[in-house]
Amino acid sequence: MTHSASALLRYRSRDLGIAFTAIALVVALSVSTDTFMTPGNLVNILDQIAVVGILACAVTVPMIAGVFDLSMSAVAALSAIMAITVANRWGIVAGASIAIVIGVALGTINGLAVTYARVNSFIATLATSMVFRGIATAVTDGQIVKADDMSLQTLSRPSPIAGITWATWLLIGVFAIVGIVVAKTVYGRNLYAVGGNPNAALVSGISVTGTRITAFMISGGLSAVAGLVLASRALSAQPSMGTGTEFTAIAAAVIGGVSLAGGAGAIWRSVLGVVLLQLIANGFNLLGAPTIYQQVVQGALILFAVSLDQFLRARDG
Amino acid sequence: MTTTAVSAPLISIEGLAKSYARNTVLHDLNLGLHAGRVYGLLGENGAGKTTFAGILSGLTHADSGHILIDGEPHAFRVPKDALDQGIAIITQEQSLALDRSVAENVFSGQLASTLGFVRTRALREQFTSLRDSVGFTDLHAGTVVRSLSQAKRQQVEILRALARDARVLIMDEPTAILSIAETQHLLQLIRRLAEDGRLVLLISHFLEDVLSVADEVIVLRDGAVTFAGPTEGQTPRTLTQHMVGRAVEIEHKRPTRVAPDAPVRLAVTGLTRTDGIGPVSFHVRAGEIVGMAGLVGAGRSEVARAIFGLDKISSGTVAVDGVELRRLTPHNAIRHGLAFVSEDRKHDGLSLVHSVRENASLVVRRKFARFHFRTVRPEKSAVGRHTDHMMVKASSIEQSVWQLSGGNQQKVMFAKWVMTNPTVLIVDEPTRGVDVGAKAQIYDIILGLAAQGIAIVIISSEIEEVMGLAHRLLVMRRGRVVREFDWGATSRAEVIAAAFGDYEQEDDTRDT
Ligand SMILES: Nc1ncnc2c1ncn2[C@@H]1O[C@H](COP(=O)(O)OP(=O)(O)OP(=O)(O)O)[C@@H](O)[C@H]1O
Ligand SMILES: [Mg+2]
Repeated sequence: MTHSASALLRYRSRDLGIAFTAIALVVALSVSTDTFMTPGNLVNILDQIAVVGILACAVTVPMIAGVFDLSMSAVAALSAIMAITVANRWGIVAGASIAIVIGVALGTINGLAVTYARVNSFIATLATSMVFRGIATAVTDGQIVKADDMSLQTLSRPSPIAGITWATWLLIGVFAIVGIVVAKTVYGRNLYAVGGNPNAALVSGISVTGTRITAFMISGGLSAVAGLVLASRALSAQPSMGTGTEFTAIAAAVIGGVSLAGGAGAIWRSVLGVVLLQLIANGFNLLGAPTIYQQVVQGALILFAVSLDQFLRARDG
Repeated sequence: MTTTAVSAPLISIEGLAKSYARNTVLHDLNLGLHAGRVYGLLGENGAGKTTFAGILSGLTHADSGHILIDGEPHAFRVPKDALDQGIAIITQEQSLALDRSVAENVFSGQLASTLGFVRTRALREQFTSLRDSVGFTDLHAGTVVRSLSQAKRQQVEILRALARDARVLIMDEPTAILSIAETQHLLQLIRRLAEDGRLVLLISHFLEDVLSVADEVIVLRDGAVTFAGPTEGQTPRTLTQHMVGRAVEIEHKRPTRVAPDAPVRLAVTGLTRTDGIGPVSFHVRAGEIVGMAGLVGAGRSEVARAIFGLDKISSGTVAVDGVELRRLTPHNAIRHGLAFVSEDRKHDGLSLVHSVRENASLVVRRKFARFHFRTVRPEKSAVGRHTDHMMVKASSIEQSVWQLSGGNQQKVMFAKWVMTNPTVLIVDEPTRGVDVGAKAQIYDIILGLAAQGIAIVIISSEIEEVMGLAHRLLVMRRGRVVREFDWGATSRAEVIAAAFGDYEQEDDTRDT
């Protein structure tokens, strides 16, 4: 009895840990600056986390299933380029739709490479990301693709509600939908089962292959959504856009407590991780502290989060 | 009985064969299995039992032959295909999603849902009714599996197979890590399942268990059936004869007397772990075998792990040959001549991707090095000698350990530690999953090591084993040594009573 009670406390203490850190940061920043708790700053923070936030939701899905998607920013770039190209001829709706279709298709390629070709997901998606960016360069000749239609910029504009930008609403929508799918549906449970122990999932009659391919399709599709937000900011797209953002997203997920070994984590954790990273950046900004230290703090946070994950695992065998 | 025998078999196996490279694991198997019966599947380590079970459940693929269910041929590509035909398996190696709840693991792959959404309440209710019908009442739906003991995890696996409501249940050594009471529970459950019309295929090295529960036994030897027929008339003796081709009798003789003034090699004083298990004090003299009995969870393995420095202690000392270990770490323990064969071969025993040779010589590798360069030939011959002695069945010592059968992995781990020439050897469940022949061999080896003056601590859930081997038997309960018996001075019933704690009332009040 005491054994399971202490185990429970251990899991809870971890939840409390991240929540506490976030609250502590908010309190500290509200007290030490008078610019933090202003509507302008908060709207700004929410707008700035949109892209990484969507990518963090995206990457968490394959991560829970025990695989990594390192091709997300490449997918975002390629689908954004196609979106603008198509939008310039057939309008924004066609452009946005094609972006998502391409994102899902590229995700499927990742999924097939990882499951049927049995390439380790790290290597497979690193390789496909090179391919995708290569294609993007070929398609654009290495040039920036500009949008003719200003309507794409809507995403970066404030909405009538509380002045929050449409991009933030998009993040909230993605967060809600993916969060519910992962936490409440049978498919979500299958993700955990596959990531937690592929063998057990197999014996239980769950298709490990199918579940993982679908996870990559979801991360691909969401990467395209993130690509659209990025494109709306500059009203253009180019092959090198967003390079490396997936690493920030993975780092955020890990800080939030998503396990690198698979089978454990939650969408809200990843989003909270993104918020934490952004709060730190914002704090440095408002306090006028040198930004070099910002990276030191963020890096230390990642090390701490991963070592905590390892520690909890080692303890419980 | 006669009516079922006449009816057509539920599963017919025709000409089933399987080989790995040049190693033929199953030769032309032909069997008919009937609903409503319990079949015991026996055989030496590496005889092909797990391989057969794997083919029946879609985990492994046969090279040739057919599986007919109700007369219809079926080929199982993945376990789901077998599940669809009502065949569920409890695999030899545990496989659970450790970070998920008990209920989720049990109903994994078939969660109650509406429109794709999990019905959490229904899931809990389903779990509770299944659990109560089986009698594993101290499992709770919401507990995270990682926090459960090995035995409890095993119960989760059993429930998962039962949750399928399968017509056919295959259990690959399900009792290997269960205690006596839990095993009895499971055997009763197996009987009930058969009475409900299910077919149960039970793989086990515990001949008594099989004899008590099975209607029929099937014995495999080197991948061929050497006996298939009713349990009636069989004895452990005849079964071993079928398994190994000769009679193996495990008979425990009084161990050679230890001189009362023999030097104390291992002295443990007031050892208390940070999780509160202890304090435990005992000593082992040169040539002495000390046994540790107790229920699963009594703290025996925990004490052993702490002595070896795998887990932290809050107080107490460990001394080897009169020298107190200043810091308890595995490195230090090994330097002082301690060796520890742990109970969990997957977790801290073996590196599965490496070969038998690399695993066996891992601790002693320095001995086979000259100026830090490895010298392979003496290493090979030493490993070969030990693995032969231990009766490891492998195609060569260069075979990867993951390809070995479960029992053979266990023997490799034992060989690894015996090779270190220890002064103190602690063995935790040394014969788990090991066949009768090899068991007798391991007993001989343990006795032989003691005769050389090594101090031995043996932990086992098989009471006969510790009672038969040990000069002194310590019974642990709730983290303490509660009783001590000399060889031959007790009975199985008395040991069990001591382990359960119903022999001395006042002791109970002191503990709680
Ligand atoms: N993947 C594999 N590659 C090569 N050989 C294998 C593989 N799996 C099993 N074998 C071999 O097949 C033989 C039969 O193994 P199996 O696991 O069926 O034995 P078992 O009867 O279950 O033994 P145990 O009682 O030890 O569990 C062994 O010799 C083993 O080494
Ligand atoms: Mg086996």
